[in-house]
Amino acid sequence: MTTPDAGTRKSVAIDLKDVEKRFGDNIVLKNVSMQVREGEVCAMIGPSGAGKSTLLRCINLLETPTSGTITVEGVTIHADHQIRPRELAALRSRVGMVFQQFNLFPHLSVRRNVALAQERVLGRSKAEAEERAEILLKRVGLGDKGDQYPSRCSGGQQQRVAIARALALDPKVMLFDEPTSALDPELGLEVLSVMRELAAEGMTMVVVTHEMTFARDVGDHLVVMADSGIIEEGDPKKIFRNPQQERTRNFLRAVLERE
Amino acid sequence: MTTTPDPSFFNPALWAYIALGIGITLQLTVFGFLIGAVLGLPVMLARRAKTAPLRWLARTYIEVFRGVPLIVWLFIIYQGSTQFDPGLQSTFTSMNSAILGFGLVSAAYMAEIYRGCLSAVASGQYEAGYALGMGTRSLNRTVIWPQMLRIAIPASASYAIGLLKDTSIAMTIGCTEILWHAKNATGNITTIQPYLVAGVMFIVLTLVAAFGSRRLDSTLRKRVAR
Repeated sequence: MTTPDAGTRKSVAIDLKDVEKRFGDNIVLKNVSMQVREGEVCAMIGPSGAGKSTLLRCINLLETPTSGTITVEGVTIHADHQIRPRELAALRSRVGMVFQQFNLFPHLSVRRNVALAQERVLGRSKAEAEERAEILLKRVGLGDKGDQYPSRCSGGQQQRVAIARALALDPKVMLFDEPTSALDPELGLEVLSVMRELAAEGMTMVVVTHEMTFARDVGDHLVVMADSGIIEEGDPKKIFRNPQQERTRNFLRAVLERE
Repeated sequence: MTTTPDPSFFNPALWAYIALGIGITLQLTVFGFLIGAVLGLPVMLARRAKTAPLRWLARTYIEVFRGVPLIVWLFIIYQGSTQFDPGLQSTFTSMNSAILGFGLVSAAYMAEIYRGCLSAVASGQYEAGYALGMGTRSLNRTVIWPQMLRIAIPASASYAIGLLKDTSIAMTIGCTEILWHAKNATGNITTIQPYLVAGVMFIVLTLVAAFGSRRLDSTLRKRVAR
């Protein structure tokens, strides 16, 4: 496949086609299509209730779309077919996820939190998994926290453990669902700096966020959602400077003038 | 009949005599509770199973074993077994029948305790596990159940303490536990003093059990605190 711009345009990592999600009569996502390219940081912003988190959760099928097609790193899943466990495992093994509420395993030490899924999903030995856990914990600046339990860590530290836990499975894509929303502003910064590093290393990332500075400075692509759909997308700096849609303008004004 | 000590509250020999039953009381409690704690898990799972017949079976089990008084179960198991086949007498001794009865009834109660505690495990734990690619089975074993069991400690402990006292009805099928000794010590005399001694012993045992469970709870619960 040679296209004129093959050198600069990277291949597609995530491809969502006509994704729709209903809960009964309530339509949460209305025919949403979008693409995220390899190594790209895609920021998703918009008012609450717009469907950002639901769309993100459709990517790793924590939420099953009512209809549509989802392709992640070559694994394609059609929502209207019965999803086989093997397909699901194949897709999820390529995608890491970080939650707003961290969702660390509270009964396990930080090291075990990062090691557990490596052993269970990738079949690594305990020693191998824990060694990898230590490396990743150092990478997120928590090399000395391995023996602690999550409850003894600050929110920012817990979220960084959660990032290490997701990275431990060597995902091709990382999803972040409002990773700093539950954190004090200062603690949020340490999480954002880890995310910046990750982006700089070339990780494909989709980030639902209210951190406009992060969306503008780190994002390669900005998706603005409102009313169950994408209302505008493109270069973050352009959209921030000159939003095309009235709805985007209103949202950005409300968020930015607060700061 | 062996001679029993003078049934006076202040007679040390009476205390020593009734204390002979403590070992049996503890055995009945510990083994009965353990059977219930282990068996309660599959009953709870069946209660939540996707297949309807399995759910009905579990519900029936729970309702039947909770609905019939413990003492009735003990009679049914102890006497029913030998009526069914006299050869079973050596298997269904007083102790075995009582432990089995306590175990089966405990399983019904423990299943319900587990069920309540399972819904108390944060739903984010499932999401985190699924997002990591873990299957339901290994997620349950490594993440969900360990947390459920920890959350279940206070409720299980108060059930176990209740059971500790209820084991006294095993006296009726001839288990030589605390109350059996107390009753035996009264002989033909009308006196409540041996029963007061038995009461004090039960209080001490329950206090120790309550203290132990609080210690266990506070050390383990720190790790599931949200």
